[in-house]
Amino acid sequence: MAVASISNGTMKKSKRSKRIRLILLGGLSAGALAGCSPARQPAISSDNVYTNNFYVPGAGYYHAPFRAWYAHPYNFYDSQKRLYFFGGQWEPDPHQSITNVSSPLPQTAQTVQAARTDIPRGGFGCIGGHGGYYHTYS
Amino acid sequence: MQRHSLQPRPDWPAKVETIGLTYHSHDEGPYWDESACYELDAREVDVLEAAANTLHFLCIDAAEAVIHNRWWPRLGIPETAVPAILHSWERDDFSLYGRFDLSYDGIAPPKLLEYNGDTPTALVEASVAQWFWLQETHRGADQFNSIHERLIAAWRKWRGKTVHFSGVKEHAEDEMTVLYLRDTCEQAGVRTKPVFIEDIGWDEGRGQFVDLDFDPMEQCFKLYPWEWFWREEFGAHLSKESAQWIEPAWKMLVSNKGLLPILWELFPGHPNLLPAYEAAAPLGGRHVRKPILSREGSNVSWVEGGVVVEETGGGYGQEGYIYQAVADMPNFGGQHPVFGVWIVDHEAAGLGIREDTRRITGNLSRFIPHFFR
Repeated sequence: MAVASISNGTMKKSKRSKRIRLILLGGLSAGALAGCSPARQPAISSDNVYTNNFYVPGAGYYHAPFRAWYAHPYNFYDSQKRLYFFGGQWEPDPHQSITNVSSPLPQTAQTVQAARTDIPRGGFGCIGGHGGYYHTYS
Repeated sequence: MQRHSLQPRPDWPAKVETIGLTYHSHDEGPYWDESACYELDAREVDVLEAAANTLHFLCIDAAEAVIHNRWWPRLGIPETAVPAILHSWERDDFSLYGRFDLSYDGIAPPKLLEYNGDTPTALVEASVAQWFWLQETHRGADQFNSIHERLIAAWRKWRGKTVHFSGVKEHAEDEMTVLYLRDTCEQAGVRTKPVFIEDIGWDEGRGQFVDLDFDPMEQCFKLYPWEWFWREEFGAHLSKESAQWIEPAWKMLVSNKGLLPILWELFPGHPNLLPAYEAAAPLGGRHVRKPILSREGSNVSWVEGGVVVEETGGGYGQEGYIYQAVADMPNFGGQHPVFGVWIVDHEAAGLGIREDTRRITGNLSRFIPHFFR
């Protein structure tokens, strides 16, 4: 057995990891946390396409077959009501559609752009987020 | 226990960098120091492991006493944080890890110096760097270090969910620590997403913290102290408990030096504890003064004969101090090692040794690899 060795006549379990494989860490340098960049919030436009459940703060989730935003995700299931939500209504069965990407109607895009609210950021990190090098904590 | 001097591997900086230890050196020299190593025997490792397991459950018992007696002021915990702490305790919210810093000379029982239960670092070096060092330099030897596989095993509880990973920007060690933990989480088959602490958003409409894609953060590992979280602008949203944080809020009870006098009060004379009090008088003129909340040995004073003989600077101490009996630190040619025993998922999982010529371990104290036979 790879993890056991004989010591003083008794089987002794090894206390070290059998194998260490790194899938993210190896070869990366500091600053390589993919996906972490300042938020970009381009304007909502009928010239762009959006997928189902594209979220806009203050407006909700995009329902591609209906080319508009609603308060709940597309085909959201409410277990109490036992109903599915799509296109602004609740129904006993989920909506069936091959459309999972579309452009909003021009009027909808304008309304949503006006209704969108900003997500405040930077409410954490004021004490510790000053950069540095060594053992900020312990 | 022995300390050996060694010839470092000629290309050691490149070797440790490729496994994530990019912060191996600082202006005053190496932080990862393989010009020496510690050799322990199996009995000594067993003693350290047993001490950490014992201490972990003593700390849990002490945390329960804090809750039962509402000793929040003794720990400097703000009233606003109490409901979230109580709820996380009652739910038994998942705790991934922690690190006990112990004084140990191989003869007397290990003594608890402090418990880093909320934001322990020096993880990549303990879990990964010294393991690869061992493979190359002491292949036949063992090492008290199953941290990596224990982390992966612990994360398996989160399969089917998405865990966010968050740390501060522009801090090499923190970025690598968070990335390493994310790596172990991915290897457990859990979906992960990164978001810097500074980029976390608050969506008032949904009542949830969100990442840069506006995705709700329902589970989040954060390498950021709880006591800082509560003091910041978004601290007001923490009481809504929309996210499950890792480490959980109840860890505020144990990652606090105010727990040391409580431990001594509850378990007086315990072989793994040093006498500790909320005043200096019971200890006479020989003691160590530590802030209730501090990191990396900041604002610690070593007092001998009523006189401060060694102290460190920093910006901590406003919540008050505790006083702990002096631990007789082992001395290997002027080097004082501190034994950091890692707890993963409530069980001792490995060891990282840091040493310094000073008796107060600070943020530049060097990491020294170890092995045992």
